[in-house]
Amino acid sequence: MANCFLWTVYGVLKQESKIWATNGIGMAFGLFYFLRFIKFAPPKSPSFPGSISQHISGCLAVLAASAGVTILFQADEAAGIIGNLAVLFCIAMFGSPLASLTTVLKTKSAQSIPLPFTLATVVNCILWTVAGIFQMKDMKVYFPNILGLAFGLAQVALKLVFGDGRSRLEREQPLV
Amino acid sequence: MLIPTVARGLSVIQSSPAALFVRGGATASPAWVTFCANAAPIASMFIFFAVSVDIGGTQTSERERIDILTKERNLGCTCSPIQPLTKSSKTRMLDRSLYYHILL
Repeated sequence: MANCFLWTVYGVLKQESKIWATNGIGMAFGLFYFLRFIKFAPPKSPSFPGSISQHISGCLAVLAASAGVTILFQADEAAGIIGNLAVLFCIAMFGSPLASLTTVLKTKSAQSIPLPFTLATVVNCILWTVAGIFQMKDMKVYFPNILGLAFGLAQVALKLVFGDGRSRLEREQPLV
Repeated sequence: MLIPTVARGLSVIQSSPAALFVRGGATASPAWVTFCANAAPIASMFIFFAVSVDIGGTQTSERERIDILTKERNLGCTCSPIQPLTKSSKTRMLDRSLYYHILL
């Protein structure tokens, strides 16, 4: 959501329709998913750092900061600052599935890694890397996608190494 | 603090020999480049749609978890807390990575 918002602003400032159109739609989807998610997720889940209201505040802060930068700076400068921020968020987003990395290593099972989604991310990163290098010639586009590709391939490797077998935790604690 | 550091890091990478090589060698077949550039937004859209499948899965897992807890309560079983149940721990794992993904 925050990432798509930043890329939408960046795309508008750079007048790159492929970036703003795609991420604008992504932002709308993200907002819808977030609203659906908070309906079902426990408000104080021990696995999340902070509360959902804190996360909403964080997203609003990103929105306010982007608006501030766009107003205060000239288009080129603003695009540079927002682009760098977007790169940071993009790297964090691509790395987010690695949050379950410790679980995979501990349980010796890659059940928590969704393979179709990971493969789709790998393909997506390849395409954006090619577009970023050869067509847009924009490092802010291809750099995070190369990293995303590396993260995606790391997850595929984990899936290949550990597979979807029953985890050690499941073997030790049967569901009865 | 963080943004200037990232900006500096990016400019260093941008002026690196590898980046210069990439820019210099960017004369590949335009047809496949155009194809990739046009396919990239479609691939992103596909991913945005694909998340909805995970959202559906989370909702189902959450309902399953609630069903298990309700059954336990009805049986008067108070000895097993939520944590040891495999389904609930699986739900939390799915929740976590998916939530970060949506939020970011």
